Amino acid sequence: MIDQLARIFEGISSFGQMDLQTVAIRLALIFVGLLLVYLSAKEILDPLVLMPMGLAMALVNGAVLTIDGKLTNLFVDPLLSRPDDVLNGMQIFFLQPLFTLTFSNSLIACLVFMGIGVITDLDFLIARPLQSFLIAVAAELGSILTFPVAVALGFTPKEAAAIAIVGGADGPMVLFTSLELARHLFVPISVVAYVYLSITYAVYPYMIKLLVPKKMRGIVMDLRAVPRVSSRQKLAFAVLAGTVLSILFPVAAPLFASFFVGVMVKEADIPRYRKFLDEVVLTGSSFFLGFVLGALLSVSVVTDPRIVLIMFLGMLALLLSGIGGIIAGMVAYWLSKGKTNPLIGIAGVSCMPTTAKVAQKCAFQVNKRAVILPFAMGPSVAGVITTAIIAAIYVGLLR
Amino acid sequence: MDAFNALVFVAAVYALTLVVALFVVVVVIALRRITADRPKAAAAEPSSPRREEASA
Repeated sequence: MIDQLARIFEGISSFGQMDLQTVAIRLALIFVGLLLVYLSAKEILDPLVLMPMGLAMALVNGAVLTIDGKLTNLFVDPLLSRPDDVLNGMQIFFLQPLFTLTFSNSLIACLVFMGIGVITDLDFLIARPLQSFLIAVAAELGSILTFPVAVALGFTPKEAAAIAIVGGADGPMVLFTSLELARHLFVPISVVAYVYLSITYAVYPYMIKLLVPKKMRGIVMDLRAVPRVSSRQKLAFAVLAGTVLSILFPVAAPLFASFFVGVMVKEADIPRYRKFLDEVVLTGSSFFLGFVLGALLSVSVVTDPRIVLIMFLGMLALLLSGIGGIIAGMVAYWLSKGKTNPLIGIAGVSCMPTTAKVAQKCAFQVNKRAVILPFAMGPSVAGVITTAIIAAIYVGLLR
Repeated sequence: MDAFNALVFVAAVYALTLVVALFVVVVVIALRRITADRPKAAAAEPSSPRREEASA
């Protein structure tokens, strides 16, 4: 009787087949998953990715069963590598086709990038390219300084680069780099990155308040001082920059191509394509990104003892990038003799458009007339491109 | 690779990133000049009212 019940309620009986530590981790993952759903529903965290991720996390760690004498689930197995196993896996695990055909080859990152391209506003980047790129480069401090710290903590250079790129605050880029350089750490790095990117919206405002004096946060910037940029110029930039960067870094060409094709569709004003990339591709890929990442967070995957270190390094990378961005914003403030609101510096930490929105939110809290979002979009877009450049250099040198 | 070599390595990566970013800046500036209409190209200051009028 008990045996039959155990066979029916395998999710519960599987707890008995695990050691105490694994049970604790599994329960913790279910709890964290539910917490993510709750915080997303409250809009404390970004619900787009984290809500499906949280739900999948809770479900995958609940739905443990035995197949061929091995405790597993029916969601996805990221550890399959032999072609035969992958083919069999696609018949068993319901998310395996998505994982194999869109995650393993970075297609999901490219799809997200197409969607990001179509919502990108290039005006300020083209109007003020030097300022935008210098801020963006400064806001990559985390992507750079985290690397030697990770090496010092015992990670290999490939693993260190994959972790350091979290400082670029660009989800697709983290997916791409970790898949290229540290496939075995892809799940923890990606999940840490997406959770932290969501947290930036809550944490960066405190950092800004700590580092930027209130008087500076309320500086009004003159929108009339920004030269107008035509759609033709933006279209030409997308084509030219995409081509040049692809020539320089063929290894990241799929990402550049995806991003700039999105920009091109927007600027060429092809409504059907624009709607398709924004409402279907971006929405769909964000949803499945969150859901599959959550499903990947099963207890067997996160038992890597280095996950705590990855969490620490991810946080360090984002904090350093934030500090770098704010320092660049302050420099821009001094160089412009007080005409530039230093908050646009934080937007250099990519994570488009979240960090630009954070800058605007903090400026509004001090001065309701301080409209800085268009100015912040320049460094934000430059941040996306700069992160892609650093990722391409890391991958090119280390793979 | 030890921590010191890693630091040297990332310093080089950072420098290369800066160079490439500046190259993109040059591309943008060149592009703006090429795609600007003649009256706009004649304007000394890109943010001058004359340029804005012409763009509008």
